[in-house]
Amino acid sequence: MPSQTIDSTPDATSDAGGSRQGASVSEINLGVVKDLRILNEDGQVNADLEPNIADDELLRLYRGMVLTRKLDVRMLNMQRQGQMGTFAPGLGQEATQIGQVYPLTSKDWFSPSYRSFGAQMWRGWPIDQLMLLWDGYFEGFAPPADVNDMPFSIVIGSHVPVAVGIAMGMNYQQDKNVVMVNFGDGALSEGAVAEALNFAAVYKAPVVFICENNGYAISTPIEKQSGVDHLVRRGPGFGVPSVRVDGNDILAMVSACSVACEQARRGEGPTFIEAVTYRMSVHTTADDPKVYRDDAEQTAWEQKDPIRRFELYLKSRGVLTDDDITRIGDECEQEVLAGRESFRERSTANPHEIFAYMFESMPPELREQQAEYFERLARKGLSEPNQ
Amino acid sequence: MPQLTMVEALNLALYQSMDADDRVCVMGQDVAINGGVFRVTKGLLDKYGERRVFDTPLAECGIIGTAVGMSVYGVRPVAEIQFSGFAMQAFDQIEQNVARLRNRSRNKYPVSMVIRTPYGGGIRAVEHHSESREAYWAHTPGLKVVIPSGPRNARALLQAAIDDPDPVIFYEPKSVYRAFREDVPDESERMEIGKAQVVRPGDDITMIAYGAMMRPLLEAVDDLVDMHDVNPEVIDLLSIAPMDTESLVESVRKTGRCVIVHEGPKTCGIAAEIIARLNEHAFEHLIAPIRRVTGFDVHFPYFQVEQHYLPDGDSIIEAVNATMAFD
Amino acid sequence: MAAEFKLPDLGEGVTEGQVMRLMVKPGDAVVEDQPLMEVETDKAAVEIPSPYTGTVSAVLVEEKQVVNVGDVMLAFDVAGAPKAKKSATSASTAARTRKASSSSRGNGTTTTAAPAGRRKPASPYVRKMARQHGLDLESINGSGPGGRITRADVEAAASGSAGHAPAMVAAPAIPAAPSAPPALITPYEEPDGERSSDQYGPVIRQPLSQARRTIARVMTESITTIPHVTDCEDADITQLEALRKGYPTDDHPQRKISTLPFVIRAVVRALQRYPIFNASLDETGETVVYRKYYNIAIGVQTPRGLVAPVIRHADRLSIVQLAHATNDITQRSRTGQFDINETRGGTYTISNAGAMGGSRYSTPIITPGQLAVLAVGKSRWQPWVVDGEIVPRFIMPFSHSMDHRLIDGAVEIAFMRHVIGDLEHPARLLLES
Repeated sequence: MPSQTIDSTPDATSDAGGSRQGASVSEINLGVVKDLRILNEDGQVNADLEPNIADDELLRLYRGMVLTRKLDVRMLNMQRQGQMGTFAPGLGQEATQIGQVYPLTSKDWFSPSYRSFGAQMWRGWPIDQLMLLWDGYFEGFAPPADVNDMPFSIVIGSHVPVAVGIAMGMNYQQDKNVVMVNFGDGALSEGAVAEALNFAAVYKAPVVFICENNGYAISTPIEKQSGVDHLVRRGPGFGVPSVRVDGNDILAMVSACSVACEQARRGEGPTFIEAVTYRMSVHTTADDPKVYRDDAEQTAWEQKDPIRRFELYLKSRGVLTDDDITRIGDECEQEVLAGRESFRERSTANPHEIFAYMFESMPPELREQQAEYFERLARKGLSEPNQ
Repeated sequence: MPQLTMVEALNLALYQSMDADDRVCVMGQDVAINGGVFRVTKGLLDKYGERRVFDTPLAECGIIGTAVGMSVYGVRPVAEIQFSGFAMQAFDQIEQNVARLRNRSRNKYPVSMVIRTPYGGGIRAVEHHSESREAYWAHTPGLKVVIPSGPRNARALLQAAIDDPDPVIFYEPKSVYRAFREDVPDESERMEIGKAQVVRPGDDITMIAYGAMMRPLLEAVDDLVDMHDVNPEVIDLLSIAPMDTESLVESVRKTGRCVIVHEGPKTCGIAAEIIARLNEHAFEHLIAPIRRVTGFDVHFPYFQVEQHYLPDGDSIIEAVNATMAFD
Repeated sequence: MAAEFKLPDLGEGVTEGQVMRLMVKPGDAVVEDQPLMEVETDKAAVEIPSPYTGTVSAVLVEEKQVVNVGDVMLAFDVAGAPKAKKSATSASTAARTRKASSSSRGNGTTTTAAPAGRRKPASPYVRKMARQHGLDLESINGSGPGGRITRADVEAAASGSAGHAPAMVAAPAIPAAPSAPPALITPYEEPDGERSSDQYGPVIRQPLSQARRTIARVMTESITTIPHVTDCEDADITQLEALRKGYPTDDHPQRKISTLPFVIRAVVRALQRYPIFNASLDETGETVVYRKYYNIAIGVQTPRGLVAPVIRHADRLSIVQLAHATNDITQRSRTGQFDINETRGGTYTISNAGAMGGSRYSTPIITPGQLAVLAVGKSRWQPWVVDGEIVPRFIMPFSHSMDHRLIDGAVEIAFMRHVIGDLEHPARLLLES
């Protein structure tokens, strides 16, 4: 069984000189606090650490998490109905997803791994586009014009050095922006990620590394992935301030990520955040977790569900009622279905996309190949290609 | 007009491009204080400072990956990989990001960067310091691959590569680095990437090479003209990808014969690609089978025997004579 | 409105699945996303949610049944038009029509029948030339190695077929060897010269011709400065003789080819393999100069004495071209129509002068500036022992002199084995470059 637990209170014996219990969020020293949890599994808040977030912002966070889950469930159904390609659900990781991108501004950059559609929606990626992306349409990959996000690269960890490079570019251009990059527990075994952490530390790049530790790299549990019990221990070895956060606690995610972003903006360089969460669903739709893990393990994690926990907190604060829960759930479902309608309208495969955007101007050999192919299509009497 | 070695000409290119554009920066192992192990980046740190000229950790994947990120953010990195054999450590980044990011982002994030790296044998180096793996990069869609053969075209091509809106793998023939000097004009020059150069017109046979192999080829040409009564047309390919198919085809349509020389391994090498293109576009003009003079399908030999691996004047002359004998 | 539900690809590249449990039956009303059945593939067991709201009109599968991806499993009656993605586009249409078009391809639309036999060898350029001249390559005889049709063959065919007559003109026939070589054993003739006498009796004193003086000087220089060793060998050229005799065809009964071009070819191949035989010793006597060109001097007996005109770049010439070249130079040498420069620049000499007169073995003298000379003797049928049997074989004798300062006997033997091997196995000469 993976050690996917997090201490209920910050560790008083942390490496870097004692805990800071009772500190307000803005004073959380991420190099000192080892574990961060603000909401426990029953939705009870650690008042010393409770961030000062306005009610409407809390509801916005809640809605983001619900929408993420609705899209998740819908896309899984669509895949089973033959209307969606292989995709990677993120059920159970909604707090990690929404919490990490919450502090980012529109000038900041986000470089996601593939299990990130929740964070992508928050950043401004339309639902229909995410569906196009997962159903195999080139058009799905184009980041929206006003969104400073990278399209994800499927090769694990390969996007992380690039994210650090963007942050180095910010230093080069003397901009005070931040890059946030996420990846999974498996990615931390990749050399590229180690090199990226090192570069970020050497150049004090304004980058926040989010390691979404969901317990499994497909079927490989964390014990077989890493020789350290907590992945957060990797960061200090590179000289990167690091913190382990309860990834199913939206308040802890928001707090840790906000502090990390502020530090980066102040020129203090990178932060490494291990967000401890659990992948409640399949790795992708081509995967069957029953092969490698027990139902009991999954059931135990249901008790730690990030949305349920946040609902209890919001209700206790009087910000959310049961009716609100139903209404917001319906609204989000309708938003997803509207996105599906638009996706169905837009899902026209255009073979021209195959040849597009290889270079700024198409080299002669490719022009020749393209012309030959479209001549061949025309010869076969198939409809004129678009454009 | 100053007479420069290729190292000096490349150094001049970097000065001129950095002068012209503040976005151009130089990064890599030992490029700053040390001026590069071959001194191509000598003096740049003093003139442009640590912001624009910086040493990196010893991590090729990190160098290329972060260079991609910088280019996404509008910087124009010229990243050095100390020896092309070490680029294998960065293969992941070159394939996943350098070559693909423009495409993956549907044109939002073009990668305008140069990967400079010395390649090739003939300098009695240790293992992994003598490879010619240009075919790898040419086989990767989305990359441009450029290989100069002398100081003047090196300067002009490097400046063009830095200006290019797409990523360029810039292979520097290290056996040519200090082998000879050439007039290099003071003012900046650009050569168009994707164009080959006919360096000697002739009628009997088309001889094609690039980079370090231009030297043995031209020596062979002297002998062929003086002693064998052969009048070859010589083409310096310069750009491996994109490839100037048109110039190659035009020449072979005229001569009907062709010999191609490269030092990389024979199988699936650049010569094989050239032969395929000539087959597609000049088949009816071929009088003789096209021959290749290349390295063997072996790892680059240790240097006591490297001369047995590298094509030389003799092997080129033999191939030309055999091709000429065919009618 | 009726709608079907086909088994989708539930994994990546899954082709079939087994129905484990059916959760609906005909007549059931279902809403979208309601579970319909459980299907197990070799990747995962999954529950299939309904894509439609409506009534199940038919269940076309049974539990435990294995279903292929794309097979219809259920039919629905759906209120309104069922929502689905837009219809497939040209590319996917192409994929779907592929099967049909490939089967129609099999119906013999091909009009160009494959050639019945092996086509005659010719380069692409030569084929194009033939097309431009309206010539059928199959009717042209190739003079190149392995019967390859050369540009010259096509040009000859084209010039011979003025108008549009089918090309019946073949490759230029090899000119027949000079019909009557100058008789070497001639009737007695009184020598010209000044009649006088010496102390023992009458003599005729005749000044040497310039040519003879040159020959004398060269021979003396050679034999006094070069330590000669001569090796005598035989080659069994029975096969080659048969090949050579098969050269005339019904169309060209007159054409002939001698053995000499084959010998030249064999020698050139051996020179390429053993470069010392194509080398020279420079003036200082301290440097050996390996020549990377192969200029073969051919010793020819002429009325004025022995001369050795040179065939340049013999390595680039086909056997038929070598035949042309030897015929040309021997003809012109005998009639004196050659430039002295044509005797210069040789790298190795072959003499078949002796063969003309019927000589078998001799001790040829090396031309200064070269390191070896090969004398080809008169071939003849001889009793030969093959596999323990005495059989008649056609034997060509060789006498090979070498400069023993630079060449050791072992290398010489290897060189001659190479030459003889080629001549005894003419396929090597024809098929290897």
